[in-house]
Amino acid sequence: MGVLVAVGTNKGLFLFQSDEARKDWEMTGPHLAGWDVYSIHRDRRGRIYAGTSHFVYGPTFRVTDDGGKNWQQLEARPAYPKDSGWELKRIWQIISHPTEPDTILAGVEEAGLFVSRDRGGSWTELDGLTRGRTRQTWHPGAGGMCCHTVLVNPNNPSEMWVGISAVGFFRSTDGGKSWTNHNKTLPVLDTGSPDEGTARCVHKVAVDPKNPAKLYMQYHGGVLRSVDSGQTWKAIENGLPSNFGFPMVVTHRGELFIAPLKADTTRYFADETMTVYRSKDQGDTWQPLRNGFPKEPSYAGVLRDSMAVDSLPTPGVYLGTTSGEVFASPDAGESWNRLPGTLPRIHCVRAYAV
Amino acid sequence: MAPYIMRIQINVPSMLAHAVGDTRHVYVEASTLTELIRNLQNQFPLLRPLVWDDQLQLRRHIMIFLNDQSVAWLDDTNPTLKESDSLSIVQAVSGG
Repeated sequence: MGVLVAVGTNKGLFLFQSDEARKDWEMTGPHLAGWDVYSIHRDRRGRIYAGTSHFVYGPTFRVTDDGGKNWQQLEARPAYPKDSGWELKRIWQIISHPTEPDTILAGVEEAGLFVSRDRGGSWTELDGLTRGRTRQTWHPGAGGMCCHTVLVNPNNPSEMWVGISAVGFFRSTDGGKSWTNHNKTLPVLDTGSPDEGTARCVHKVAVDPKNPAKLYMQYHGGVLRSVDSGQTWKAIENGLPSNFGFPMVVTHRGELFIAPLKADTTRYFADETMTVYRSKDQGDTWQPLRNGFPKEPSYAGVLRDSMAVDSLPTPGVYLGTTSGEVFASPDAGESWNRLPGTLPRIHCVRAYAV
Repeated sequence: MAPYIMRIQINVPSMLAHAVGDTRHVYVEASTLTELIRNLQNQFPLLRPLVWDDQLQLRRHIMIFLNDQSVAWLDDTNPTLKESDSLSIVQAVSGG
């Protein structure tokens, strides 16, 4: 068994491959050179999807069925009804449905959720999310008004969650037909929304694969845990240098990883050197991890999808920075190695056992 | 007399070559500019969302030239095509 790490940047996509030791890496790329790659996903049959966009040419889905040798643009893509006034700007998140192998879900900007039941051949909006009475009060975050997090309960696929910046956190218990906003226990922010109920800035949410009632959130000024399927949230910030950041990942063993940044004015590593924080007790306490990171000061940042974990018995953890460096840990964060190459600004990192 | 149908060369930017069969030049038949653009959209469906938005409006930073003139500034908005005509899709450049 080996690992494939896919890295999306603002100028293309890069693939790194290694064996189970995850020490030596081979890189290919840039794939899709010149395209902004905000999202990547590999489905169970090995198709890799890339959500690409370009400031001139707009958003598209690209796929490869041969590990990146050949890429095709999908003819279909998510689209809002003409009378909505909304436009597809970027594809922020692509995931597979846990029990329907051909079903793909896409979170997009302007914020909405789309489903394809034929691996991208056609798309339908799950419009219960955007047709609610509060939609007109939604305001964008700094990165746009994006549905950047899409989660499905692996044990009960009718339960789904999405995170939208800068709007909040939503849960569906009927497979995405209807949605409830669960913002009440999240800190209110001055987003510009006239409605306090939708003035929340969720940065990233992860679900515990062993216990999907437990979710973890990196908020715009908060690290939070829910033990009731995302309905209420409490801070878990003991030992952290900052509660600001973007990514939140959880391994199959339940370890959490985040990359705390200085507050939103600067958005570089909180310790001013590369440091990842790990919790082995579901967020009760956090420990800094620096073994293998450069010791010199770092003023890079980490974007919301630029951290990933693999599914090997000892989970690997992967991190991409805004200054184009990729680091891999083969031992759940104990040590880190820099992968070859200096890439463009990294938007997303995904890791797959292959 | 009905206008003749011409075979017009279409030039596309390198970033869009994948959408027209991994080439920079394709040919589309039409007798007028409006027909040429409609046929281009239909013949190359992957190109359409890259050049035009969901409302089929030309994307903001793209210009289309008929020979050496932007079609946005033509006096005759739907000229009859000549055999030597070519159409170029151009990414507008500003700043840098």
